[in-house]
Amino acid sequence: MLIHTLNFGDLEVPEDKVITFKEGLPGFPQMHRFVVLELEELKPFQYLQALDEPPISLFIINPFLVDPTYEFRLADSDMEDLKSMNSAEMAVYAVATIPEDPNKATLNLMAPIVINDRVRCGKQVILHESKYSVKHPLLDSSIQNTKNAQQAH
Amino acid sequence: MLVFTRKKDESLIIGNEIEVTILSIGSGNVKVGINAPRHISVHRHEVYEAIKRENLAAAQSQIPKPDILKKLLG
Repeated sequence: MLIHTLNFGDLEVPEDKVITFKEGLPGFPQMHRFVVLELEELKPFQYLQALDEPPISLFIINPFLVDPTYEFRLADSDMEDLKSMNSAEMAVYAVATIPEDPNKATLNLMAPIVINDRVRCGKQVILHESKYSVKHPLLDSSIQNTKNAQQAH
Repeated sequence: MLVFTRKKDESLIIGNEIEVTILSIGSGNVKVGINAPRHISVHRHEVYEAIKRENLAAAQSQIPKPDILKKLLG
């Protein structure tokens, strides 16, 4: 099927790549169908592209690349929504917010996107009692510190 | 908005399946218990709003240039 994107024009995507988000996403409750686009120029980020109007898209990334210790437990209700009792068949992504100044980019680690690849359904789960923030700085703090030190000189 | 007055241990039924019980009343806070089917999601309002705001901001993200993308991950 041909899909329309704001940033990458029209792209051909196989029908069986469509992922259904029954509840939409917080802020976009009317968006139910998405695809994950892997574009060479965006790596290691991927693109979660909505197929419903308007064709919004979100940068997503494997959160374990940013925080190797990232962990959470899926609630039973989330597992039920994702039609699986086996976390091994789930793919986990974090949504990135990249403002005009990319140094201020953040990752939402409190509400990861979890996708069941087998059934092709997904959900943005909310980790209520977790220590994770909706605005985890993407830039490694050591890099930030180096920069600050350079600016100070 | 519907407004009810409830005492400790009293509850409300919403629809056929959702029960909201006042578990304890403190000074300036109440503890509420909710029994609902698992497909009904219940969130603290401010947490849900924060995630909503973040998604709306994320959808406005700029596509960074390739060298910036590399740098973003250190």
